[in-house]
Amino acid sequence: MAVSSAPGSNLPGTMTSAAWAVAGSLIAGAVLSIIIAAKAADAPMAAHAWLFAFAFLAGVMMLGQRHINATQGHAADDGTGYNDGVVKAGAIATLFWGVAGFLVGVVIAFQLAFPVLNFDTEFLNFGRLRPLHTSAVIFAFGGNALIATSFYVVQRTSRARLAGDVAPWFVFWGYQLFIVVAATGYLMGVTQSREYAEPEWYADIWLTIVWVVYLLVFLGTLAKRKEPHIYVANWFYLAFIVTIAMLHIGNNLAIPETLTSSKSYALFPGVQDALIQWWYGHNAVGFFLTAGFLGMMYYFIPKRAERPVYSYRLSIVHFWSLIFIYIWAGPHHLHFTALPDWAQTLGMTFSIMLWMPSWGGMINGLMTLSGAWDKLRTDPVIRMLVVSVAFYGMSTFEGPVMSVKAVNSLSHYTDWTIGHVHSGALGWVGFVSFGAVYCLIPWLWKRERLYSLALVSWHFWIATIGIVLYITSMWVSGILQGLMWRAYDAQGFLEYSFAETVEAMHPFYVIRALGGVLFLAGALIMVYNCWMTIKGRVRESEPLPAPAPAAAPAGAMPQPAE
Amino acid sequence: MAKKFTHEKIEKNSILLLVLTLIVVAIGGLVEIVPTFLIKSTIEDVKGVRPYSPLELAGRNIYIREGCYTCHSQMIRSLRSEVERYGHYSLAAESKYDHPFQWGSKRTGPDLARVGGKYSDEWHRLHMEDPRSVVPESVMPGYPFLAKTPLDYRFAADGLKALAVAGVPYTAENFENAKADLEAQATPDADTEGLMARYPKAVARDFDGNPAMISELDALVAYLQMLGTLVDFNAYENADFKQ
Amino acid sequence: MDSETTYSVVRTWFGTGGLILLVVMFTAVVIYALWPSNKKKFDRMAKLPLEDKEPGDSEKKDKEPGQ
Repeated sequence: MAVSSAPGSNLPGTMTSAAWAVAGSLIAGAVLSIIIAAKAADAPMAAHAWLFAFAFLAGVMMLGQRHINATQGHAADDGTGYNDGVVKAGAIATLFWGVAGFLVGVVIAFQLAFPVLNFDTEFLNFGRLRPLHTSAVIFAFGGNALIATSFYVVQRTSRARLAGDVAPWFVFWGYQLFIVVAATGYLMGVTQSREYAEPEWYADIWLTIVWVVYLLVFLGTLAKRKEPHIYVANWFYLAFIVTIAMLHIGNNLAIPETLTSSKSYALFPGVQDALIQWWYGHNAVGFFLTAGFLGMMYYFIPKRAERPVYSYRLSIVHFWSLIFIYIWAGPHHLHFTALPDWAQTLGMTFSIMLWMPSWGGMINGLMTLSGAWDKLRTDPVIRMLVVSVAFYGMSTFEGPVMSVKAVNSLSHYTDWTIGHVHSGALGWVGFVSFGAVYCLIPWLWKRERLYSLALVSWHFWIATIGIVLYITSMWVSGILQGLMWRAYDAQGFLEYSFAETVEAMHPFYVIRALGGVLFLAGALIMVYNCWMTIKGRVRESEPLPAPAPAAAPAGAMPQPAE
Repeated sequence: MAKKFTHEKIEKNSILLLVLTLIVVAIGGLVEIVPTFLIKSTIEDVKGVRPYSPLELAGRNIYIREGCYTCHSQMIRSLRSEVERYGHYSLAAESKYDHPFQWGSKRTGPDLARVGGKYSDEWHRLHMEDPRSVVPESVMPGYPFLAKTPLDYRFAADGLKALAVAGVPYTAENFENAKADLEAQATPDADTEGLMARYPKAVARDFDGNPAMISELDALVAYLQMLGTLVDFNAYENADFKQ
Repeated sequence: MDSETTYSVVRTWFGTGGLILLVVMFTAVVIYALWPSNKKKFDRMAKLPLEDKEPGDSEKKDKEPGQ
């Protein structure tokens, strides 16, 4: 497939047989898309078929442009060093989708506080924007961060160029296409209603293709490696890629209404469907938002702190425990429902056990700083990375607590769950990604350091205050609402109507939205900082240190061996 | 730990890691999911649950399209306060024809598993037009466009056919009459004999109060009004369905 | 045997077997992690992110003596 690299005789960047195969497939895909567009049973399907056709043809043109550039001697790179072009693209996409996803989050947070902001339209109501927000932050922001960093890390820790010539770019652009199809679909009301797996059947098929190529690129790079051992970050990345493939296929089995319809029906019914969805849903957290980002942690924290991994042995033990135990935890989303009790109990038991391997990862991440704790003070990027691990520890403690049936009977269906998710998503996933991108931008663009470390500090503190506002307001509103739902008056009747509990949420929804605004503001500061770094600027009030002994501030430059 | 790491061996290693990982992550899912298909008692044996009528199904698809599940659950837990607020706790059997399930995960609004018959059609019409006109504290978006949009039911039979592939007991008779059944259920004084035979307990009336058009609101209200109405729990007094 | 009986039989066996398998797997992982001769390799791997090498650079030091 597209993974084979260019034969040595060809100029790098020119059309190889693999590239021709990709171009041919894209043209075939475009033809198929146009046929479906012409016969589409509904307007969203027609729009998406045209979008696919347009994207496939754009892909062919990009291949052609690349060939022309290469024959004229303007190849993007010589095909021998690390392939960082795709990593750069991924870093920029991470920033772009991050801001987009946070912005939609802020919008829907304000919609819950002030429902007039739904404008009573089809396209911008909460029900359609909410999956847009969750998918944008998890898959667009988080996914691009994972793809970019995994491509960076697997090359460095394997000492091998990324496998494939066109394939990594196919993964990048194919993934962006999936994001755009999913996002526009939500706005048009195209959804399977499976949380965090809302895209319809044709988008799912497309993602499967992209994901398989991603897996092949990753495996192909590992296969070329010059290191005997596979570094532990790659274990986590590999587990993330392969498990997400399994979950994605398992959870998206569906029967399309017709092949020209954007509507499908889940293959399995009711209780089985619910169990499969939460098997997926919880492990989207476990393998997308945890395993993948642990891979990130295991490279960027040691690298930035210039300290070895605290305990490599611990990393091995907690890797296997984590991936084994996580997969069982899904049923804790279905306590006291029509799911059989034995499944609920299994889910709860494993969720509690999960606490240990989770904290194994946290300990390893935090303790890697041992001997370099002063860096917390001097390097705001390290501070961001370390605080992300602290948030990881906090939310992986909160999770097992909430999976206990007695607690869950109160917390389930309330904002407590939303707060819990966001302590993980904003604190852990957000901060570790920000830290990684702050590392990557100067490394990739060969800048001595970021435009401004002071702005990183500003980002850190503004975002941290935002997270604290967010999760505390959701704790209060969640617990309050849970208690109000079960409160009885002196006569033994339920004390509050549902509407009264909604009214009680209002102040907390406003505070939460403000927390989101702060988090978004931090991200905008980051975009500015990264943009200026890429432009090669250094903030005037923070000059680079004199070109003498310590010419490599903040790990921006290669470090000599100890 | 060979002395020389040949290319082949290294490659085998990463494949080995891949395979081991896949095995380890597959176990939990298999042990939890497969038995729910095998154990009969997973789905209780209760009378009354039937597949959706074409109009109800169209309404359900609108419910899904608008993301109602992001704020409304359809799963009453077996807790005293929930049963008193919403009615009998939900049975697995009640969603045995639900592809996909709509149990939900968040109650920004109340549970809807038994909302059928709780409010009048008129209330639903006002509520969809402007939720705060009937519930001042509500934070629900308004859906005024539903009443104005004609329901697209050209492919009503295709939905039933796809569901039949997934195991819902629809037959050729359902497919052939899909459009007619849909129209009969949304039109007052239509001949509903066939509809009632195919979908017992189906309620036929002009749900949106606008006889000139079968709107998306017709379908959505028809769906909401049938939720939780199929099982007659009086026939199972004191029955314990919990496993 | 109906599916329910089959299930309970299978479950009993899997319950016991699964427990043993788990303990064995976990023990194997722990032994692998703690095996003395692996220490050198792990120590080197722990420092791997700190090294900056170009693609194709192979690590000479990894040919540990005695392996």
